[in-house]
Amino acid sequence: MTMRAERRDLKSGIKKAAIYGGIALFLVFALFPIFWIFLTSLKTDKDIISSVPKFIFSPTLRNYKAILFGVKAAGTETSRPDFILYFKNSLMITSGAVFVSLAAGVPAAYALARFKFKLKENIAFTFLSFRFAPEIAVIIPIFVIYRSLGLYNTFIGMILVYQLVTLPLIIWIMRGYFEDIPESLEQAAKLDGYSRFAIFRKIALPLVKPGLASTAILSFIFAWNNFIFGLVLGAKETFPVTVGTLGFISYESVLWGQMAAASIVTILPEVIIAFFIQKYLVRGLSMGAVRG
Amino acid sequence: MAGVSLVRVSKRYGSLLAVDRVSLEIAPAEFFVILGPAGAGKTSILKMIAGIEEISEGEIRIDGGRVDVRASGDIDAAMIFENYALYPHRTVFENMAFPLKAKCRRGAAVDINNRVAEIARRLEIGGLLERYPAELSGGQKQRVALGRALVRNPRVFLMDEPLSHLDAKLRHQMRRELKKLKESLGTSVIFVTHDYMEALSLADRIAVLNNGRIVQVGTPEEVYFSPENTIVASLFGQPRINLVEGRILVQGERIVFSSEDGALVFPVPLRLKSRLESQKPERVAAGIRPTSVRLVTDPPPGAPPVENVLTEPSGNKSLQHVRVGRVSLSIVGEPAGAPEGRDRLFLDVAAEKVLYFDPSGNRIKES
Repeated sequence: MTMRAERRDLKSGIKKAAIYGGIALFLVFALFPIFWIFLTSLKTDKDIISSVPKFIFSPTLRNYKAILFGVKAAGTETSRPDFILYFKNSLMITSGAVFVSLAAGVPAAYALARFKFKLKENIAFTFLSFRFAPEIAVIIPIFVIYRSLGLYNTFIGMILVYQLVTLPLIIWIMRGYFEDIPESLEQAAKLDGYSRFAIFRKIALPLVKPGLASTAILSFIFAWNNFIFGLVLGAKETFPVTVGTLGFISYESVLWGQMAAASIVTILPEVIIAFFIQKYLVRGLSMGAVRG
Repeated sequence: MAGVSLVRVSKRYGSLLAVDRVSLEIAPAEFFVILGPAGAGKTSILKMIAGIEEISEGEIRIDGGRVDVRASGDIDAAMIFENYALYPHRTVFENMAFPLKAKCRRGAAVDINNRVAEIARRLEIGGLLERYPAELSGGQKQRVALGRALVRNPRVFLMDEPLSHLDAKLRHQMRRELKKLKESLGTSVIFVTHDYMEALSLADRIAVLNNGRIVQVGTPEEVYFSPENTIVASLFGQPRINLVEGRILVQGERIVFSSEDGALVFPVPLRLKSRLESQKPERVAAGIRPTSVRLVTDPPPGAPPVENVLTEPSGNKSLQHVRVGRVSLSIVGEPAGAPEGRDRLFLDVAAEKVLYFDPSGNRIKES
């Protein structure tokens, strides 16, 4: 090996080390709070409020038992068995919202990608604009409307208002996927004797499947994390977990341990789903690579 | 058997006129090539026939029946796209069976498996039926696209530069196979290309398209040997035809062509005499194919020697670039390059083969 090549190797080695160092730093920054919450969820109240942060302690599952099964234990003042209800609420609202958004948004995205019609870009922009205004700005009028329409504290009402979160996301991302399909594929199918709808179903839809999966998952996560809609437009029967977790803060005390346990259980679906999104993202990218 | 006819068909994209009043008659079973440079409107014509794009004006008939008002599926044309347009999520078999499974053809009692197998055997892709398009080479994709068109016996085949993405060797092979196929097909084929060799070797007739207009329609011999104008003359032949500006001089009984500075002079065939005398063009352009001029050592009387001989060898022949006076010419010559005695070389033009064009670019024909 020549001197030059050695130096180049050294240089790229340093560069690599710097990149990995940066990534490691970011990971600590991003993951430490989750790690701390996880530790907290395994602690007794005494360990939690200890003035010196404790990394070494004898772990306990009593917080989880309390929120999942309503088991009271020594050192826990109350239990919140409602957590299960909130978790179910969240599942229902979020999957319902994603399902409705897919049913309405995927055909809309296809139309925006392929058809020519008046005011097309304006309509597309209107969908996007749903995400401009902070939710807090529109929540009061929506609250008033919901009260008078009887949608307040109903699942239908929640699923509808969650469309503000999921629908623009699905329409805009899916539009891009549909536009990426070479038009000649659909023209070929047209010549082969297929109707517009059959082309959508047999050619376009199967080709965007990886994109569809990752978009659905992404909007699921966005909806799952929403807080304000549930807080204002729901009550105990329809509270999602994000709002429900707040219930551990009460007048007399804050149940840190149970709140931490609830947080960990709440992020579980997202963590599981994130594994899927990774696989589909990679597939989506490599599909583009072999085309042509 | 179906013929295709276009009657004054135009296509506008906004203010751009992509196809300008094109009229064509394509006979049943004819292999018809539309040749033109990029952006001439070739693909637009195909897509209008296929019903993929609407026509702005005119009408299109297949077998006498208007098709420009019908849906693509009913037109019964099969198209082969430049990028093959194979369905990436379907196997080769499914790709080929796809047209047969369409609703509008469900009534026809075709045994899909047999039909696909038969076409696959004919195209020698029988072993690939279970593969996906991503697992095929360019040539194999090309065959599958051809197969998908063949399975359903369409009334007309439309081919949009189907060979342009293949490497040179494969392109020659596919060209031969298309030629073989053409003999056994008995269906009209409309084939779009920008490659003049493809056009000359495959076509029964060629339409030359430029800026959305038909410039000439004729057999390969007609467009090559009797081009209507300089556009057609320049499109066919590599290296391109040499166009030399000059004038016609009458010297007693004979007439000669002389380049602007008089450095290149050669006789004009007598059959053009009466036409030139009646038309009396101020200036003309002489079209000299690189193959109808050569370098010689003994000087024709009064001719100056050539300068700047530059030779590009290419195997069994060589390309020479020369100057005489202010005229530059390309010459296809002997493989060894210029003959001996390089500094005393002269041009010998095969005067009988020279084409003459008037100032607006139209060929001056014998009357």
